[in-house]
Amino acid sequence: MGINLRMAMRALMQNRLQAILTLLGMSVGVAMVVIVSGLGRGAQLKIESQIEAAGPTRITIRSGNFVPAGVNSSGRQDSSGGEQAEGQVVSVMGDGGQLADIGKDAAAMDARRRAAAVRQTEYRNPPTPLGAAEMDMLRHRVADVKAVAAGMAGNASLDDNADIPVRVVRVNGFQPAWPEMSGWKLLAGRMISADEHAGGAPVMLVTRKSAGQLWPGQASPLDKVMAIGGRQVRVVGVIGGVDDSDSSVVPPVYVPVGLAQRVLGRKNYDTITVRTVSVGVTSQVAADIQQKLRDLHRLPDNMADDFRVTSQSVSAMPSMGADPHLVRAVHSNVTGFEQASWQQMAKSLRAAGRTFTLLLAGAAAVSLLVGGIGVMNIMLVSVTARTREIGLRMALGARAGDVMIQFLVEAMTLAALGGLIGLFLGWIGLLVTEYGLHWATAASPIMLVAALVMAAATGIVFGIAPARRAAVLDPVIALRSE
Amino acid sequence: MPVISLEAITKVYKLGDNQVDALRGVSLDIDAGEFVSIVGPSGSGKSTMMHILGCLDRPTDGHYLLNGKDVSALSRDALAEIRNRQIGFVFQGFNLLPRTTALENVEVPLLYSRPILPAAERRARAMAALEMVGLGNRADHHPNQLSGGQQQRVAIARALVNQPSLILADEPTGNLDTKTSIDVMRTLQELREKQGITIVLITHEADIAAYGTRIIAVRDGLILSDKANAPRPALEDEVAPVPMAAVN
Repeated sequence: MGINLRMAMRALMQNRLQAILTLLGMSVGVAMVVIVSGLGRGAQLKIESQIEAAGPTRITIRSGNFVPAGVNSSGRQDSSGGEQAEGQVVSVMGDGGQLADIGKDAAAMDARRRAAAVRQTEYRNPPTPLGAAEMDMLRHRVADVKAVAAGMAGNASLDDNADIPVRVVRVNGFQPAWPEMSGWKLLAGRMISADEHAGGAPVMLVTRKSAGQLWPGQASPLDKVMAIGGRQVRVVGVIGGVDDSDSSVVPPVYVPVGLAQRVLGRKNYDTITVRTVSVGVTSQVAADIQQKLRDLHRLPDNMADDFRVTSQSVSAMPSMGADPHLVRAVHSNVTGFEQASWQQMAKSLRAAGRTFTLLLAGAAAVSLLVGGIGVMNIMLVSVTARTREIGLRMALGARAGDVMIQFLVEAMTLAALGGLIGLFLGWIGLLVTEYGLHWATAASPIMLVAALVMAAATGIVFGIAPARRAAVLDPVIALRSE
Repeated sequence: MPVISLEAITKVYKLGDNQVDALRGVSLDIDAGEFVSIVGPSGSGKSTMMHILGCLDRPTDGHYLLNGKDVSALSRDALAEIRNRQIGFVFQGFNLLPRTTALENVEVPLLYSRPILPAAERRARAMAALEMVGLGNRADHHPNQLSGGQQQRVAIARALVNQPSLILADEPTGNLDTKTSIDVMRTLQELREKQGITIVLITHEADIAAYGTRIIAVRDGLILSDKANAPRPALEDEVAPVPMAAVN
C-alpha cells in the first residue's frame, strides 16, 4: 500500500497542473459539505436553544389559589370582580369547548379536571403556606427537575437611614439557583456567594435603577450600607436583566432568602420556582407537582387546590399578542394549553430547520459530484497518457488487479488530498460566516470525518471506471502505444 | 530440456473482415545458454513471435512450452506471473519510468512478485543488478540524467533483477548510436557467457544479429533459415557499419 501511495504521489506530481485543478474542484466540494453541515447544525442548535429559551421550562408555585380579576362562564371579564374557585372555571371552559383543539394531553387533563371539578366546591382559607416541606418535596420527589429556588418579598422601612431619600425598600429574598433561572446578569461587583446564602449574611444586590433611587448622584452603589430591620446590609453587586417595571416607587433590593425571612419576620416563602430539564416534560412535571402538593397538603377530593402552579409562558402570553380574555382563562390553570401550542411551534420550527439543512446539503452533494467528475476526468486522461507505462508494468509482471489498485489509489489520493484542503477551506468558510456574517455555525467532528470519508469514497467511485479501463488493456497494444 | 519449445505455433489477427496470418506454423527449440538472434524485415512476424515468446500474447494454435511448461493457454494473471518470474524484457525505447531513480526503476518487477520481498531486500537485489551492468554509481540518477546507453543498461538490470531464465530483447539498439550499441550488445554477451542466461534478440539489422550464437531468419510468418553463428566479438575499437535507426 505504501508503495502504491508513493507511486500515486509521483504520478500526480508529474501531472501537476491538472492535479492541482482537480484538487481544487474536489476541495470546493468538500468545503461546501463542511460549511453546509456547520451552518445546518448551527441553525438547528440555534432553533433548539430558542425553543428552549422561549418554551416553558419554568414552573412557579404560589401559595393560595385565586382566579385573577373574575372570569365568568363565557370567558369574559366579570364586572362583579370576585374570586372564583379554579374548578368552576375549568368545568365551564370544558363545556364551552373553546380549547377543544389543544392537543391530546391537554384534553386528557381537562377530562380529569372536569371530573374532579364537580366535587371541588370548597377551598381552604387561609391556604397552607409554602415552606421547607414543599422545598424538600420538590427537590427530592419530583422527576425531571433541574433546579428549585424559593423566594419571598416584602417591604421594609428605611427610617434608620437618614442619608437615603426613600423611606421604603422592597426586600426580595432569593436562593442560589434563582439568578441563572431568571437570567440575571452581573453588571458590577459580585453575586452573593453560596456561604452567604446558607448563613443569610447581610449582603444585597441592587439594580442600576434602584441604586439611583437609593443613593442618587453616587457613582457606584458598591459597599454602600443600609440598615434594614436592624441589620447593616452591604451592597456587593449590581445586576441587570431584572424585571423591575413595577417598582418605580419602591426600589427593590435582593438578599439571601434567610436574611429576608429575618428582616421581614416571616418563616415561609411566597413562591417556589422550579426549572425543568426540558420543554417537553414541563406540563407533566407541573401536573406531577400539583398532585404531590395536594397529597402533601392533605387536600380531600372535594377541596380545590390551595396553591397555584403556573408555567413560564402563561405569564409571557399577553405580551405575545394573545387575546387577554383567553389568557386569563388559560391562566386559571390549564397547564397543557401553552404546552401543546409550544410543541407545535417547536415542531414546525424544527421542520423548517431540517428543510433548510437538506436544501444546502443538496447543493453540497452536487458540488461534491462535480468534484468527483473532475477526478474521473483526470484519471481517464492519466490512463490514456500513460498507456505505455501500463503496458510496461504489465510486461514486468503487473496483474490486472495491481494496475487497478495503482489507479484507484491514485484517484483516492487525489480525492482525499482535495478533501483535506476542502476541510481547511470549509473551516475558514465557517469562521467567515460566523464572525463576518454572524450566522450560527457548529462544526461537528463527526461531520468533518464524514466529509473526508465521502471525499475518499468519491475518489473510489469515480476512479473505478478509469482504473478498470487501465486494467483491461492488452499489454501488446499498450506497449506499442506512443 | 530446451528453455523454449514452440510446436506449430500459428497466430491469426482479425482486422475487420480481413484475416492476417502473422505466424503460420513455427516450430522451434531454444536451449539454455543460447543467444538467438531472430531477424526479419517488418511484417515478417518476428514481433508477433516475440510477443508470444514473451507471454504477452497467446498463440491461436500450437503449443509453447517454457521450461517444459505449456503456457499457451494460461490466464492473463498466470501469464503476468510467468513474465515476472521467468522473463526479462529489454525494449527498443528503454521504457524507464520518468522522474524515478535508476534503482527504483530496477525494483519495479520485484513490486509485482508474490510473496513480496521486504523493502531492504528489494533494494539490495536492485542494487546488485545495477552493479552487474556497471551502473552501481548511478543508482540515484533519474533517466533524463543518463545517456541512452546507460538507460538501456538500467533496463537490462531491470530485466535481470528477478533472475529470469530468459531475456527477450526487442530491437535493444534501435535507439542507440553505433558505439553505444556495441556496449549494450557486449553487456548481453557477457550475461550469456558469465551467467548462462538464455537470450533471444529480435532485430532487423544483420550486424546486430551477428552477436548471437544462432541466427533465425523469419519471413511471412515462417522460419526461413536457422543456423549457428560464430558470435561477433564486440570489440571496443571496432567500427561496424551499423545503420542508425534513430539517435537518442
